[in-house]
Amino acid sequence: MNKRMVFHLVSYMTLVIGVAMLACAGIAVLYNEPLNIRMSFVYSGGIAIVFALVMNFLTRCEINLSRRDGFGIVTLGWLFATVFGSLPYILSGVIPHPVSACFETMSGFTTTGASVLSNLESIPHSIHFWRALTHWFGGMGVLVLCVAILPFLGVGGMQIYRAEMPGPSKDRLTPRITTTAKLLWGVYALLTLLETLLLHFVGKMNWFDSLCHTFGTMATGGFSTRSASVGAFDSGVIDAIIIVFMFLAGVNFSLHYYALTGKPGRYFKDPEFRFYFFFLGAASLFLTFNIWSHGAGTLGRCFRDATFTATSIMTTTGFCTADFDKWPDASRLLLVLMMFIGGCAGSTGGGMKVVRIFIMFKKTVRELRLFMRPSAVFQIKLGGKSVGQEIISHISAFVAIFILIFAVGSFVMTFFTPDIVTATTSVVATLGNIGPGLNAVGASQNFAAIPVAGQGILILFMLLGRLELYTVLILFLPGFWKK
Amino acid sequence: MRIVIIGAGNAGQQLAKRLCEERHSVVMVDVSADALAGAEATLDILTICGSGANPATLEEAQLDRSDLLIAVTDNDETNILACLLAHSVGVSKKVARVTDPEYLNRSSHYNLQEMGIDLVINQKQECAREVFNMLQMPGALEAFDLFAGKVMVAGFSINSRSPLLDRTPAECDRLDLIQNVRLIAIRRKNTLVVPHGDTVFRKNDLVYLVGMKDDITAFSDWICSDIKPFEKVIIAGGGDLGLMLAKFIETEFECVLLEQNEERARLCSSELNKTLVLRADALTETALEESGLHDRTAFVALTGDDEGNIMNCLMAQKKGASFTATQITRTDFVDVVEQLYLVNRVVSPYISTTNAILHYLRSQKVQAASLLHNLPGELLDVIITSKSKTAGKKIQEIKMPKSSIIATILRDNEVLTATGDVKLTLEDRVLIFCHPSAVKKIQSLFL
Repeated sequence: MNKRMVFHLVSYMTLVIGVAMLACAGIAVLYNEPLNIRMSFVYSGGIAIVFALVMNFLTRCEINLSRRDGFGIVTLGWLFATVFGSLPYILSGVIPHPVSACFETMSGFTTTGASVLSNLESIPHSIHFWRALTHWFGGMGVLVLCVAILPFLGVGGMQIYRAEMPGPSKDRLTPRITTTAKLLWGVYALLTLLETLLLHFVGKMNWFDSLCHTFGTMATGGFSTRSASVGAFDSGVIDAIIIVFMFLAGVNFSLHYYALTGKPGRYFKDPEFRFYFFFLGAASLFLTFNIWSHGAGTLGRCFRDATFTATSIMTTTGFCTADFDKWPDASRLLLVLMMFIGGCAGSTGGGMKVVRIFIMFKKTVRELRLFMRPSAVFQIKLGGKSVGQEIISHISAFVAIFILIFAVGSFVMTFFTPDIVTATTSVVATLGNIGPGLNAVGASQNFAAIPVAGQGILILFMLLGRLELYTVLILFLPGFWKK
Repeated sequence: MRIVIIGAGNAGQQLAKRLCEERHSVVMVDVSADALAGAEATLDILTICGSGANPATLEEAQLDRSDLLIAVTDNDETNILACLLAHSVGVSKKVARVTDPEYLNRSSHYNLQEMGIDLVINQKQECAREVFNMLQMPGALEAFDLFAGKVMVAGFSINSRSPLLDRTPAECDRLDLIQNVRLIAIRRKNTLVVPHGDTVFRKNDLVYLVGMKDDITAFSDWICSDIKPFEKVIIAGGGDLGLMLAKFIETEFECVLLEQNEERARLCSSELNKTLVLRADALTETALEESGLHDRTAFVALTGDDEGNIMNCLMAQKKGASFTATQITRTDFVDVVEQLYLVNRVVSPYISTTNAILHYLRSQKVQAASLLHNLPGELLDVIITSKSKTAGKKIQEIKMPKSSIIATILRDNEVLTATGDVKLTLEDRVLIFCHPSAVKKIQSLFL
C-alpha cells in the first residue's frame, strides 16, 4: 500500500466533510441558534479543512492506485470522516463523550441510524441537519462522490468504487467509472429532491423535517428529528410516501437509472428485485395478520404499521411508526431475520444483500440435488446467466464471515447489555446498518444505555457492515501493510 | 467518443490505454474472461465477455450508440464480421486488423473498404516495414521518416563508449552535427525528460532526435561508430512476417531465410527471387554455419516463439553476427530483453498496429501521429490554419503544455529549425512531440 497516495486521497474526502460542516453553520444562523452551536460548526469545519489542506499539500504525489490502495483509502477515509464528523457533537456539548459522538457519526455515515440521543425535540436544528447530512453522504458513499468529481483518479476510481459500493459484483453503467459515479449520484439526488417535494406538499411536513427525513430515507439511515420517529407525525400519507421511497432506496440504483432512461421493464426482469419485492410483500402480509390477530388495532392500522415496519427493517432504514418490540414473538423474530437479508446489491441498504441470500439459497438446493445425483452438473443461474464459481465461493465466505462476526460480537456484547436478546440484536442492528434492535435497544429505546466500551465495539461493526466486511478486514492481514 | 474494442490482446490493451488517457469511453469485448479481468484491473473500461462476431454481445456493448469500432482479435474472420455488423447498425468508423493476404487482395467484386471497413490494418506488413527501416539505420533504436521522407525521427541509446556521455549538447566535439538536428526527448529510467540546453546526457539514456534525413544519418554514423554496416541479412522463420521482410530487403542486401517446415520453405522459395531459402532448424549450429553467418551479418529472428527467438539471437551473436533483432510478442519480456542488452533490437508487432490506428484516428485534423516504442509520447503533425490560435505567433510566445516540444516546421517544402523567434504562418506544418496527456491541449492550441 502506498501510504502517501492513500492519505492524499483521504484528504479530499476530509475536505468534503469540512465544507459540509461549514454549511451546517449556515443552518444554525438561519434558525438563530446560540453562538456556541454556530461556532461548533465553524470550528469543526475549519479544523477539518485546514487539516485536509495541510495533508493534501504534504502528501501531493502522482496518483496511480492499485487494488490494495483502494481498500486502504476507503477504510481510512471513513475513519477520518467519522473522527472529524464527531467534532460538532463534542464542541456543541450535545454529546460530550468523544466515543459516543463517534458512535453517532459512524451511525450517520454508515446509514445505521442507531442513536445515543434521547429527547430529540430539544436538540438544535443544525445538529439535526448534520445528522441527516451524514446519512445522505454515507448512503451513496462520499468516496463514490469523490470518484465522480475528481477528474484525475482515472483507473484508480475503479479501485475506490469497488471498495465502497455494496454488492458482490460491481456493475458499470458506462465505460468510464467517473460517469457511472456521476449517474448514480444523479439518480440519488433526483429521488431525494422528489421525496422532499412530496413530503412537503403532499405530506404537509415543514421544509426542514421533509429534508431531514428524506436524507434518512434515501440513504436508508433512520435518524429522525422526533423521538417517536416518523410515528410522531401520525399521518397515513407521510407513511405511504416514506414506504415507497424506502423501498426504492433498497433497490439497485442501476435499475432506477435504466427506468429513468426509458427501460422500466428492467425492474421485473431482475431476479434480485423480484425476490426483494415478493419477499417484502409476503412478510408485510404475515406481519399484518400476526399483529392483527393479537389485537393491535383495526386491520387497516395493522396493515399500515406492518408494511412500514417490514420495509423499514428490510431496507435497513430503521424508521418506526409503531413499537414493534411489543409485537408477538413470531413477528419480532421475522423482523430480526429480515435484518440479516437487507437491501439489494447496489442500493443504499445494508445487511447481507438480497442477491447473496438468493444465490446461497440456490446453492443449497444445488448441493442437495448433487447428493441425489453425484455426477450431475448444475450451474447456478441468475436471470438466465450462470454465476461464476468465484463469485459463489466469495458469497459463501461472506455469509460465513458475517455469521461468525455476529456470533463472536453477540458474545462480547453480553458483557455490556442486560440480556441476550439485546446483545444479539444490537450486533445485527449495527452490522446490518439497521438501527433499532429489540429489548433495551428496541424501537422506543436508544443506544445511550450501552457503556462506552460497548459503543466502541459497535462502531467497528457499523463500519464492517457498511463496507461489506472484506474492505475493512483486509486491513488486519499482516501482508497488507507490506510493500 | 464512445469506442468499442474487440480483442483484449496486446494491441487492444495498448489502444485502450491510450484512448482512456484521452478520456474516451472504451468498451472492450473478448471471449476470454481472464484476459478481460486483466485489462479491467488496470484500465478504466467496461468489459463484456463474448465473441466479437456475436450480434448479441455487440448489442450488449451498445454498438449502435458507439462512434468507433476497433477489431483487433487474432482472428481475421471475427474482425471482419464485427466491422460488418457495426456497419449495419451505423457505426461511423470501423477499423479491422486483417493478416491473411487472401482477404486483403482486392478485386472488382470484393474490397474490404467498400464493405464498410474504413481502415484495414495489415499488421505483418506494417511490422516488416519497420524492421526494414531498422536494418537501414542499425545505429538507431528506432527510426522512421515523416513529411514524405524529408524529416527523420530517430532514437539512440547512450552507452559507455558514446561520445555524448556526461556532456551537454554544447560540449560535444562535433557541434556541427548536433546543431543540424533537434533534440526532442530523453527517456531516463522510464521517465520522460524534455531536454534543455544544459541537460547532461547520462549512460543508458535514450535520446530522440528530429532532423533532415542526411543530418540524422551523419549523426548516427558518428554516435554509433562501433556498429559496422552489414552486407548480409539472415532471417529465422519463414512465416508471413519473415517472408514479407525478405521480399522488402532482398534487393538491397544478400538475404538468407531459414524455415523448418518443408512445405512452407517451398512456398517461400516460390514467392522470392533472390533470397536463399534453407530448410533447416535455425536453433542448430549447423544451420547457422550453413547460412554463412559472418561478422558483417544481421540476424533477425521472426518465429512465433519468443524464447526461441531470443536464444537464436544469442547463438548468432556468439557466431559473430554484428547486429541481432528479435520479434517478441509477450510484452512482459520486452523490458528484460532490452535492459539486459541481449539483442540489439526488439520488434513488437502490436506497436505498429497501435500506431496505424492512432494515426487514423487523428487524421481528420492532425496529419499524422506516431507512437514511439520506447517513449511514452507521440509525434503530432499539424497544419496551421486560420482557425489556429497560434497562427502568426512566435514560438517563444506560445504557451506549450508541460512535456511537449515543437520539433520542427515544414514551410514551402523547406524544413525550418524550430527556434524561439520563428513566426508560425498559415499552411505551416508543425511537428510536435508530446506526452499523451497533452494531446488534447495541443489540439486546442493548434487546431
